Amino acid sequence: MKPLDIHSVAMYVGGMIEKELVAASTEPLVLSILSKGESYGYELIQEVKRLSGDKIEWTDGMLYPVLHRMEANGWIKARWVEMENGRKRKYYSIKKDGQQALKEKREQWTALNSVLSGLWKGQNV
Amino acid sequence: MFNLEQSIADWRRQMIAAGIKTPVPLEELESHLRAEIEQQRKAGSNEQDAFNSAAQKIGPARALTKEFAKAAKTKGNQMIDHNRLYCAVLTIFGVVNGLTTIGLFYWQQTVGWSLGHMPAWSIPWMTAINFAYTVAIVATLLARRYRPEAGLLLTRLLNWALLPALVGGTVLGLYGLWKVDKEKEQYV
Repeated sequence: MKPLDIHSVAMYVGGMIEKELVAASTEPLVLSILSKGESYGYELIQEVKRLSGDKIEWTDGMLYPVLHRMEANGWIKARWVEMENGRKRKYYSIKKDGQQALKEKREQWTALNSVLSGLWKGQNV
Repeated sequence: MFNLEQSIADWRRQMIAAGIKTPVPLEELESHLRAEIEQQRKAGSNEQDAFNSAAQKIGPARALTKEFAKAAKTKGNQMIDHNRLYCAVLTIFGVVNGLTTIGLFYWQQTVGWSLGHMPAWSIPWMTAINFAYTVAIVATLLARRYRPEAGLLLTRLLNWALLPALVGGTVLGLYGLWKVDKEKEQYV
């Protein structure tokens, strides 16, 4: 099994979930959200914040290098869309390789969750 | 008095000074900054507070540059930069063509129209063709650098024109038509 790609800890500040764990979960989070439909950076951040109940807090700008790396990896693709106010916004969507990467990451996280759940079963942790 | 557009312009300058590239990713970061400002304004903040908070949330320019540099070292980005490779080969091709043109012209002026076993009529034609290719290559390279849209069109035309030009030109032409400009990030 491939090691989790803990690319950076500089991206994450505060929050209740440890920064290393948040760092490791960034790509599966982004891929999971994009698998439901295209989105843009700001919306991705808001969505993660909402889903985690504010337990995951990213330093906003640091998401973009991650998105660019995922794009370079061929997992996601981007397109510029002109908004009503004339400004442009970059939308990301998942590619076939991204779906495959998500599948692999999902298996890894599920396996990890299963191991920990088994160990903690019946314990008051 | 606080001027939002001026503050955003200053913020952009700071980002560029720290090494953030434009238009990508700076435009994307600015789009994010504006979205956050708008959100905070809706929540009741004044322009200045909204801007300061949004800029802080995006993070310091130096740290961003570092992260983008790391992202650029990924597997995908380590692949061949076809744009650079193509321009480099095209430059070499242009220089060789240019020198050949000068050589042929000089030969005609000093020796005449005989060159080995080649028929006399072919020398001025070869000179003219070499000269035309040299001009086209220089024009394409300049356009790609200073007028990207015209550069795309000229590259396509040049690639077709290179196909009948001996082995090297054919290979370069095929490579240009197949690979170059098809992988560039789409920023419209």
